[in-house]
Amino acid sequence: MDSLEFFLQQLGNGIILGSAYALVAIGLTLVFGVLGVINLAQGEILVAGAFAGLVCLERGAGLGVALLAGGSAAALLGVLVERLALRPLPASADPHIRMVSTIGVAVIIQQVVSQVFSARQHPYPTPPLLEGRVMIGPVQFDFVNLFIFALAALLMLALTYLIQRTKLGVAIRAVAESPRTAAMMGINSDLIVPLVFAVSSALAGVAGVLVGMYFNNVGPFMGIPIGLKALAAVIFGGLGSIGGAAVASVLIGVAEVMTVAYVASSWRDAVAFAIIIAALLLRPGGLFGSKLAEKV
Amino acid sequence: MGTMTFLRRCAATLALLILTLAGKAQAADLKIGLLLSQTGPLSSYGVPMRSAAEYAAKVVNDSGGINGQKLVVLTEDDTSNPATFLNGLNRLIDKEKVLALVGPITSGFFQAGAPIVQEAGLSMISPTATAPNLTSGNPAAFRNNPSEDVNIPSLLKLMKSTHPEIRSIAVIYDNKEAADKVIGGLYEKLAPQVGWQVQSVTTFLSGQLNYSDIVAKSLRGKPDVVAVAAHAEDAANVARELRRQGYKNIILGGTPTVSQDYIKIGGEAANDTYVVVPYYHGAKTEQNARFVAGYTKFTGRTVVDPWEASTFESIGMIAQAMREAHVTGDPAKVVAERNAIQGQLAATHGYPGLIGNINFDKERVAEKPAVIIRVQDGTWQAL
Repeated sequence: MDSLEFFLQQLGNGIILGSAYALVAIGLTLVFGVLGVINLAQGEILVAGAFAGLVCLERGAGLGVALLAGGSAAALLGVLVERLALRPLPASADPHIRMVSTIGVAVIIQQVVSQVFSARQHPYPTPPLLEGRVMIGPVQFDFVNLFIFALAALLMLALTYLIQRTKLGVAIRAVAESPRTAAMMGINSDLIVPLVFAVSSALAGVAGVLVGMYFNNVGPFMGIPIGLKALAAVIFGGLGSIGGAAVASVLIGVAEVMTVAYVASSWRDAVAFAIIIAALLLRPGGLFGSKLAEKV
Repeated sequence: MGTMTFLRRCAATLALLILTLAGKAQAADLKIGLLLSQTGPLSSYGVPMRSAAEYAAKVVNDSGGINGQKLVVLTEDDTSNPATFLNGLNRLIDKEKVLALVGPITSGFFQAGAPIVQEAGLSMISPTATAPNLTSGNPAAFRNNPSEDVNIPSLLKLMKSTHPEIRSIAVIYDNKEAADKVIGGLYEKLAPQVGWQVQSVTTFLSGQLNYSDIVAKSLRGKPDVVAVAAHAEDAANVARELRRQGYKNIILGGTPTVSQDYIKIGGEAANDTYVVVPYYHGAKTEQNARFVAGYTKFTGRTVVDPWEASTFESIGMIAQAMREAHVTGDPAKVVAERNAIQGQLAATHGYPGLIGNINFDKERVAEKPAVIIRVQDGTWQAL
C-alpha cells in the first residue's frame, strides 16, 4: 500500500472512530445544555448498551434488534441515573456535586457489568449483514465501518432536527434556558429532563453497539477511555454545542488513529489529549463555543 | 482424691492432649505457597494452574505424602496486580511460613518478588515466566519453562524449512508485559538470521480494545507472516483483527499465547497459529497418559494447557526436594529447611517430567523437551 493510500485509509478509519465518539459526546453535551451537569456515567452507559447488544447478537438476533436493545437498555439506565442519582439532590446543589454523583453511578455500573459478564474482554460478533469489504477509490473499507459512519451521521442529523425544528426541541431548549420560565409557559421539566437523559443515553447505547463492532470486542472497563474522549470532545467543541461536539470527536478520532499509524500505539491517547490542550489554550471557549470573558 | 484435685488433673491431661495433637498437626503439614492470579486478566492462567497444583498435592498425598507427612498448597491471589502480588508473597513467607513457592505467572512479577524470596532463603519456581536471564544470580529463583531465546529459534528454523516462500515478517507485541516484550524483541532480532526482512514492529498496550489501527499498520507492507507476542486474550483479539483485515497466512506466537482461551476467544481466526511449548497434552508418554487421565477426573478438563502441566511438575519437583532434604515442617526449623530444599532443587537432574526428563541448569532454568504446536480445527495439535 503506497503512502497516499495508507494515509487515506487511516484518515477514513479516524473519521469512523470519531463518529462513534461523537454519539457519546453529543449526548453528553445535550445533558449539559439542559441540566448544566456533566454526566460522567455516559461512558459506562455506553458499556451497558454494548453488552445488551452483545447478548442479542450472541443469540443470533439481527443488527436491528441489537441496536434497539443497546439503545433501549441504555435509555432506561439513563432515566434511572437521573431519577436516583441526580433528582434527589437539592436544586441549589453545586454542579460539581452532581458530577461526582454521576462518577459514583459510573463505578456501580462498571462493577455490575464486570460481575455479570466477567472482567474480561468479550469478542463482538459482526452481523452477517455487515460482513465484507468494499473499495472506495484507493481505500478499502469494511461494510461495518461504513455503517457506523452512516448511522452516526444519521442520528446526529436526527437529533439536530429534533432540537431545532420540533415542538419537543423547543421545549428542551426552553428548559435549558430557564426551567422556571419554561414551567410558567406550561412546559413540564419533570418530563423533559428524564427525556433528555433517555435520548442522550440511547445515543450512547447505540454507540456502544457500534464501538463493539468496530473494535471487534468489548470489555466492562472500556467506558472510561471513551467517556474521557467524549468529554474532551465536548469541551474542545464548545460546551453545549452539538455541532462542536461532533466535529471535535472526529478530530480526536483522526488524531488517535494517525498517532498509531505514524508514531506509536502507546502514544495514541497522549497525543490526542495534547492536541486538545493546545487548542484550548488558543481558544478557551472551544471550537464552536463563545469566547470566555473573565468575571470581575 | 478431692473433687477440685480431680478436675485439675483432668484439665491438665486435656491441655497436654491438645498441645500434643496441635504439635502433631503442625509437623504433619508441609506447606507450598502458590502465587497465582485467581482474578483479573491473568486468571485464565492462574485458575487452572491452581487446580493443577492441588491435583499434584493430591497425587503426592495419595502416594503416602512426603516421608509420611501431608503436603498442603496455600494460594494467594495476586489479582493480576503487582502490589497485591507483593503483599501475598510477604504473607506466605512471614505468616504462613511456607517452605517453597510456585508462581508467579508473569516475568515482571517474578522479577519483583525474586529479591524478597532470596532474602527469605526459600525457593520460588515459576511454571510460566519465559523472559531470558530471569533467574541469573539469584539462588532462590527457578523456572520450569525454557527461555524464549531457546524456543523462538527452533520455531523460525522449522518455518524456514517448511515454508521457504516466506521472505518478510511483521511483528506485533504487547509493550506492557515483560515476556511479550522479550518475545517481540526476539522475533525482531532473530528473523533476519533466517533470511526474513522485518517489515514493521508495532506495539500496543494489553487491555486496549482497538486493534484495528495497529493491525492496519502491520499489514501495510503485506508481510508473508505476522508474529504476535501477547497473552492469550490480546493475542486472540489481534488474530481476529488480522483475519478481518484480510490476512490469511500463518501467525507465529509465543508461549504466553498458549491457552484454551486463545482458541475460545479467537475462534477460527486462531487457526494456523504456531508456537513452541514445553508441553503438549497429546504427548504419548506413560507419565503424561497417567497425568491426563487423573487430572481430567479431578477437574473435568479434557485438554490440558502447558501451564497446568508445568505447575504439576513444579509441585512434584519441590515434593521430591522436600523428600530428599527430609524436611519436617517444624516452624522452628523453617529457615534451615527452606535452604535445604533450595539445595536439593538446584541439584535436580533427570526428574521424570510429563513428556521427558527435566534438569535445572546452573541458572536454575529447566532443561526439558519442547514441542511445536499449531491451532488446527479449533484445537492445539502437535506437528
